Amino acid sequence: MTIKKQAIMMRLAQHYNRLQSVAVYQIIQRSLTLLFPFVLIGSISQLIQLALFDRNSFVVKVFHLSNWLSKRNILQMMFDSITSLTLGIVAALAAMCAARYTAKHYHRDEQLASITGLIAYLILALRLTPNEGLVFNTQMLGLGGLFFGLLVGYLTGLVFKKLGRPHRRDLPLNGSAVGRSLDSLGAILLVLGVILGLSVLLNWLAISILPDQLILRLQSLKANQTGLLFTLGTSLAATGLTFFGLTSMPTLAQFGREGIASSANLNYAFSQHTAWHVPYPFTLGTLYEPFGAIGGTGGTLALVIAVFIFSKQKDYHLIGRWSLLPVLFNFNSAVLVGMPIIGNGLYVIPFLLVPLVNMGIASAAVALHCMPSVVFTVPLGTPGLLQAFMGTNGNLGALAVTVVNVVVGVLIYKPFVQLADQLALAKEAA
Amino acid sequence: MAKLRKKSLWLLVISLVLIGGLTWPAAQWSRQNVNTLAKRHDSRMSPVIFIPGSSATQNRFDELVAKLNTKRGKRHSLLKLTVHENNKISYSGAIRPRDNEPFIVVGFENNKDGYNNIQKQAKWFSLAFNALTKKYQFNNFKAVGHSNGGLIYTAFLEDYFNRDDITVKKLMTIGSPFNFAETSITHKSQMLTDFIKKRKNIPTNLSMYSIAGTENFENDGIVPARSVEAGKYIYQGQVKHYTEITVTGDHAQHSDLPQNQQIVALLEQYILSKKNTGNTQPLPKSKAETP
Repeated sequence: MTIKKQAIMMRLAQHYNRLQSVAVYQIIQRSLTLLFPFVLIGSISQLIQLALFDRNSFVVKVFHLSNWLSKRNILQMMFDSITSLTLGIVAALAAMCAARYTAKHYHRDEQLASITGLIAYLILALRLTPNEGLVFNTQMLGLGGLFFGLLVGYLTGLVFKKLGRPHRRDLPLNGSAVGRSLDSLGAILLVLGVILGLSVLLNWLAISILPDQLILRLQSLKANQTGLLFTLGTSLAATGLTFFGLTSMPTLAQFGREGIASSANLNYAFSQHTAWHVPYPFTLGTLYEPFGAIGGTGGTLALVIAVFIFSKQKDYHLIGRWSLLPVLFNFNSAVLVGMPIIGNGLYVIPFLLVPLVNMGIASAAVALHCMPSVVFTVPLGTPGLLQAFMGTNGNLGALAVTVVNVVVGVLIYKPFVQLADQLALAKEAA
Repeated sequence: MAKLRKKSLWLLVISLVLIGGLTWPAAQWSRQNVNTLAKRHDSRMSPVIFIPGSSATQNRFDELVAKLNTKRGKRHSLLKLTVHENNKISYSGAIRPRDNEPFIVVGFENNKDGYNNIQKQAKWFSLAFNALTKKYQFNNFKAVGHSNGGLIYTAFLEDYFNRDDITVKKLMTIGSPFNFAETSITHKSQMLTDFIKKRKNIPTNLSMYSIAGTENFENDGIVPARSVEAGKYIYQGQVKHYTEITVTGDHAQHSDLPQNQQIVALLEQYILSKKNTGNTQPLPKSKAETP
């Protein structure tokens, strides 16, 4: 068994090494790392805003602070702005970083490439409305648009490679840089022109290139939406999309809450005064958020704990420590971007596996009558560890299942964290 | 290396202890919350909440209530609230136990006209409304606004009413000037513009009845019929049903509208629950009424 496992790990390491030598992959990972501080600030601000200063948030509800808060709207507005201008524009920043690193890789003018990448992505996210002023599709700018941000940035860099001239020596600040700018003018014009055409086309067709809408549309599917298979399948799809930076967490949470099944469950619980034996125990609402996403998509809390226990890399520990607080409240963007997890071939298996296994354990616990179903709505920003507990109106069995879930998650992440250590060691030795 | 791990693990342990400390208050809140919601879910109370127009007090609907109770066998008890400028609320009257369709009137100490005041009054109404929902566990209500009262309701629904545990089933506005004194829709008042801009916040499962009174072909003596009609730009297409009704004849003057026999009949027909349906329990007839 252990030998077989080692063999699998070896194969994984080989694939990973091959992946790492590809230029695009390096560019993406570098870009994400550069974004980490802003994403971290954004998540902490988001945590403060949603968990502390929102009227419907966990802390406000549990400690009855809504009166105190109603006179302090300015606090929420402040943190709202900080979140919007860091986490909220992360895809545009990603386009900038990716363009920069791509240009650098091919020895082209990286400064101009990065500015072009940023503007190009903003144009793509533009919503052309008859109203005055600039209006952006905020979902495109946020974490859910990360994939397209990186893509636009990378393509911008490639255009610079084709049309731009090789990088001249850094010019002194007092000399003329006009010549240098003119070198890249063709590339800039081409990128902006093509992207503007694309943006107009998207606006004209009134379609979004983000798959968010697709996930939400699943809701109107004729399939049996209340079955365990549908639940697991949708979670897998959403986790996969998150892994590639194609969606962000709120979409699926919204999906789980709005279903017909969740109101049927709630009605049952209120009229029968119990959360046991609700009509639809295996839905997204009862399983995904409380068990499948403890700490955020992919069971991130388990990953952070696995890093703390098993990792030998200083960077991992530092990123884990900084991200721990937001992750405890299910805001995991900092970990996704910082480690990075997004697009990281090393973590694709546990990232997809942990939610499925955890939801499976929870379903088994419900089926064996170890705990009632999670049906009650919990306040915004409820810590991941307490979601099941509060959603079952304080059932200790549910809390125990949550703890088991985290432990199992840590065990699943363990070999991959250790593999990362070995690879880092091997690299240092080489 | 060991130091690195030790520091991280300490941080983890401290955080987990803090989260663990939240368990007890969280359980308390959840129990209380579920109790309240369950009570609300089981509640059969469906009050009618009235808002008077400008310059009118919480006593504005007394005559209307008396008329309705004479017709319907004194089933509805009357509670009146006044919200003062300092956000304090005073009460008079009471809701009788087991009255499932009580009438509640919310008046304001500052009952002046003007968009600014309407915005303030909408906020005051939200305070009164929240106080009522805390005290009485109803899960739905019906809304009636006379004159500016209809405007206050519109502002309330757009800006303050954002609850999924309580539904507003019906709204009846009586002579509400959605475009103030303007006689033409081409001149939109600031208020109407704002109302139209935020119309998406109005609940979509609402049935809305807008009643206009007319003394002549133009107005009810105070409010232009065109201004009442402008309400369609806010409600039509957003709510489930939008119905306009024009009342003429005796007592169709603006201030007489709440006592108008036809409007009393309309209220009975569209807003109140039908007699002898499960929703209201008629009182045993008192001796005075039996011949």
